[in-house]
Amino acid sequence: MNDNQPVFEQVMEIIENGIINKTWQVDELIISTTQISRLYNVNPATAMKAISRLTERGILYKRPGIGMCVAQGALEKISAERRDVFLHQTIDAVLLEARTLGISLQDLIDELTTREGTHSHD
Amino acid sequence: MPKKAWTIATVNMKNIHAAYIATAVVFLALVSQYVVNAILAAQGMDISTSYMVSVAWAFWLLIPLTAILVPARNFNRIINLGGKRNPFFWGSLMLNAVMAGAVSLVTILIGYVVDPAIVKSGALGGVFVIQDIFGWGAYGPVVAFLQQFAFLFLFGSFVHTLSAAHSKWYGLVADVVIIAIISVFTPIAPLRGALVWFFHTVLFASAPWQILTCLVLGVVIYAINKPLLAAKAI
Amino acid sequence: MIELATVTKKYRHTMAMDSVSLTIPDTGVYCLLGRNGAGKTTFMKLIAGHIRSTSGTITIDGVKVSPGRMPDCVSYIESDSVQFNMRVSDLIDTACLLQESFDRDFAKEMTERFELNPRKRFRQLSLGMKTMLTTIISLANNSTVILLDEPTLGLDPIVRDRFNTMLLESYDAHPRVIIVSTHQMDEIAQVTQRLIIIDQGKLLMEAGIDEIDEKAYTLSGPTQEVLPLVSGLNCIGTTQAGGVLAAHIFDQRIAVPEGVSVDRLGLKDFFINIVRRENHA
Repeated sequence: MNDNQPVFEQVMEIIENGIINKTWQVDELIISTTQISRLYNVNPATAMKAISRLTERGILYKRPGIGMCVAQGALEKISAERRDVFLHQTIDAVLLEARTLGISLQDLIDELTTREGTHSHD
Repeated sequence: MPKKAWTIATVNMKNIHAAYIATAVVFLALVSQYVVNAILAAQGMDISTSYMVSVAWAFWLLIPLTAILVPARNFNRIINLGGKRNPFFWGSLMLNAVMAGAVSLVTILIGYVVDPAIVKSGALGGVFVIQDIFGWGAYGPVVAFLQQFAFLFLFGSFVHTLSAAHSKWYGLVADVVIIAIISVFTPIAPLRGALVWFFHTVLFASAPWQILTCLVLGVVIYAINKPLLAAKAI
Repeated sequence: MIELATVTKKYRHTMAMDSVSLTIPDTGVYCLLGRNGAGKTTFMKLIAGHIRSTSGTITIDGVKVSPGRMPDCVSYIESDSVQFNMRVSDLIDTACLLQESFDRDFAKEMTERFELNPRKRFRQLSLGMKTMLTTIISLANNSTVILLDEPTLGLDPIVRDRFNTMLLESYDAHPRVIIVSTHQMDEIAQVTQRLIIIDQGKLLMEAGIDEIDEKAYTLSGPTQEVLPLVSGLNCIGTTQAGGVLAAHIFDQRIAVPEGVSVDRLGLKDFFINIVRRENHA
């Protein structure tokens, strides 16, 4: 757990990551609050809060008597949200930092193109 | 509730080692009189004028010692194990009655069986037997048992109540008042009469009257524990 | 469930509890935080009916609590309490006899888990072990309110960790009100659901641990940039060094400009700030 975000947000991210990398598929049972609190050393109440927030957002749903499962369309919803965050906040931050360091837009584009090239060769 | 009260009585019974040890020591001290006399007799000395105190008296010690230890020492420990005040109140009353009954039974047995046997067998002048001193033997062992039981019950209630009051200032006040009554009353003849009358009633009065007074007074005095216990902090 | 209405407890010269009103409506693990002498033990003793309040009333499930009417549904054992000098196993058996709903198997299992030698007598145990034993005896009671007074006092970190696990297991098996007082805040932060903070006999705050997780944070950066952000927020304390200001906030999170950083405020620092603010006010 890092020190700047609320713990429940970090737990939400952990679960979202699990859905994005297909650890948990649609209609599959996710990790329980007790397991989360054991695994990441967080308060069960905090784990519970993360799960209830995800439920409110329609990413998880409760199967009575069984537990929390991944909702239909959860993956798409998370991807869309993350995409939104990336396109706005992340890129804004990169541009701001580039400006502070005096890196020109062209240099930045060149750098990104080279990177993408090396990555696709992997 | 009666079950929990009885549990508290038994827990208390198991946790008054000091009372048992003190009683055993006094008992052995009293037994040693017989041994000393037996040795003297064996050496050919005349012991026909020597009187001894019955070993039964040692058991009397159990009554005040239990009554002191239970509220002063065991109360906190019982609450600390999750016991509650109300069953403690009833349990201690039960224990007081059981102790008075057991001590009375043992001492009457000694007074009617052991002591006479010693008097008969030896060259002793005699034994101070409990029921003879208080005149409880007049109607036979059963009434003697009841009379002694009633007196010990009153005695235990009184000491228990005084001991329970000692966690607060009024315990010390009670001490002073009791000492004051005795020391003021004794030199003044009419008041002394009242004291004598009191002790005569609880000890020497005719059996039914004595038993009734002791039991009623014992219960009344014990009832004071109810508010005492409610005020007692842990 | 538990309700305190303007409860005051005065000892000769000190206010141990100063008109505290508090409602604990639901089951949960509650953490009672306060400095030494803040009134934590008085708080617990009052609820357990061990002592009488000077004024105000305490009710549990609608029934008034007083020393004359000690609630059966409350289990409280003082942390450094005197006990019969029995063997550990006998103490547990006796507690089982004395209490209404005692889970003897749980108690036995816990003594094994915490390596308490059942044949040892109470006085032979170390401080930590004594505390552990009284904690086990308290927790084994299935009554509706369990009060634990500094249960981790004198325990090493490994045993403290086991204690947290035991607390959670016990709560999961029998959800009820468990109030724990402790100074090991970052550890209790992992198991407690709500916090009750008291200082000098006064109730400073009652809040969910998730609220603190979400709303307690520190803004730090150049003073002239942080100061305008703070106005309008509930600032519980500040630290200044050079031109840098760290403002501790208990409020909604805000978006911050570049150059100002946001850090989650841990429970311990949150507590320190809340208590310090009260003392300065």
